[in-house]
Amino acid sequence: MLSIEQREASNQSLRQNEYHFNPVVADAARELNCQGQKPRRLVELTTIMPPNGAEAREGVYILPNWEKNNILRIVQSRDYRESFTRGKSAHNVSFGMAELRTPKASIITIPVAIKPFTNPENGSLKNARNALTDATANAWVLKRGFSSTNPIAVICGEKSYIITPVKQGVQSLDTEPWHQFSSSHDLEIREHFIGRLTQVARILADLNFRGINQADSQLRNFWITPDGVMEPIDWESATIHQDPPFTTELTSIAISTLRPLYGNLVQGNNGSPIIRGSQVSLWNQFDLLILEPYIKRLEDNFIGSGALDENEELLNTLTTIPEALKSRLGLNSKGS
Amino acid sequence: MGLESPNQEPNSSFTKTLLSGTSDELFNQGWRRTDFGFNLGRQTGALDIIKGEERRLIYPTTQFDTEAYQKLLLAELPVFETALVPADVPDGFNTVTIPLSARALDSMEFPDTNLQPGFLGSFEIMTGVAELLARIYGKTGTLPKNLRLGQLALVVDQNKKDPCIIRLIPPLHLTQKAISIQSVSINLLKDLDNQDPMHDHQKQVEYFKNMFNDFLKYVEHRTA
Repeated sequence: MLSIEQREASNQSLRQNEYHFNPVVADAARELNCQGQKPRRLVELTTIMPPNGAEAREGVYILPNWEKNNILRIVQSRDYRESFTRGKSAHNVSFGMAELRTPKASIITIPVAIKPFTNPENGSLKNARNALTDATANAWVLKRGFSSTNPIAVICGEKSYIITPVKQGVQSLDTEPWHQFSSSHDLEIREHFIGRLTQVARILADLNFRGINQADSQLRNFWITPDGVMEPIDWESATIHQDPPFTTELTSIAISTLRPLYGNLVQGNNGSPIIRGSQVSLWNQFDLLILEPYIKRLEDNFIGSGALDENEELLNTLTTIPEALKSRLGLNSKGS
Repeated sequence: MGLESPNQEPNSSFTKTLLSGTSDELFNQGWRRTDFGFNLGRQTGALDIIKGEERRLIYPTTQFDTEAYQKLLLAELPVFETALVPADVPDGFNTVTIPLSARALDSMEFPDTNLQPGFLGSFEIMTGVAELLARIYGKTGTLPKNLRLGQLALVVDQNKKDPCIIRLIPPLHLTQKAISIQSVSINLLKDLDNQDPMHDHQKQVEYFKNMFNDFLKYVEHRTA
């Protein structure tokens, strides 16, 4: 039982949570205010990322999809509670409201997610570069036809922030009860989770085919809409390559994409492994659940584009991805 | 519990059979079954469907459900509002509008050990459950019969009329028999532990009880 003091502390904490502004939101509002008078810059997608990341300066950058909008201020409102997203954020993403001036000169207030880049704390353009790199990669993902987060602006200062409209009704993939995947004998439940993993594999293949390496492919970096559409999110570590990628790059892109997912499935969310067993068994499960649909989708994409026609080098590359990944994971050819 | 529920209604497959004609008709009009992870009809065989921004639940109603629905409406407590669908729905079924984001609590993990400022964590959800039940109890003197986690839905929707983030999933059944919040807590804890065995939920349920009592005092003070 909680003591009276603990209970009062809990209640107090709840009140603070409900009525006080989240510190990330408050800091972002302050930083926007500091940068408020400077002219807005547009993020330009003229070069493939990397090599050098984004050229960041202090100020507010508007993303291409929001070109004729301007972010005026971040508003303190209790309504931010309504924008809660289920699921933990490794990046301490927080939620607030933002006032936008639209192309028609009207001002609208919308719920937004605010992703902070505040390390180092004493301020440097490193934060701004990281934020701008993340948002720019995100913009490339959208430009190449994928549905994901659609950031409005990047506030670059001593601390930097990406401001993104909240997408209603989405749920982070890691919030589902994944332990049931290995423990349930219910066919429908197993099919549900297998379906989720197949969706993840296909999305990663589609991204790779279009020269996008998400590079942090954990379950928490996907969300699901109520009609079952899965979308990848979080482009902080992403790299953007030629579309489609050069054959010589494909294996390294695939490995960089799939390796974090293997680790995530083996270690699980919140300490509960999603796939279990010996190393051989883990690899076999990963092969069946992820690699097979991944390679199949990649092949289909290349066949569809005509790129596989008489291209033995590409065909060889596709067939060697599993072994290359296995080797990179430190699993020898016998999988022991 | 969770996606795998020992508390599944015995007639859920019968319900599905009864609704097969309706579902065929709706699917032909572009409605789709709501994603399995969001589906509020898993426990009862009800039909949870979605088309664009619209979502409906067609479920087997009962006299208890009708009475409970009226009671909640009269007391201005949050419910999923009744709606129509452009299809023949068999007698004995009711249709309600479901916000896009609604998701049953038996389809998620509850890992947190304390409040998660800025996020919708386990404790915030427990607060929502406590708020809803305290308001129902304070205003109607009833509580849901045999309440299980799978009968509660999380609703995060800016357009909802009532700020509470939790709703009861129909069919509803409120009872005036003396149900202690202690017994509700025991069921909740059992469900949480079954559904999410990797995490400790004792503190979450203690928090739920405390919040229920606090909300109840507030409701009683407001209605006094």
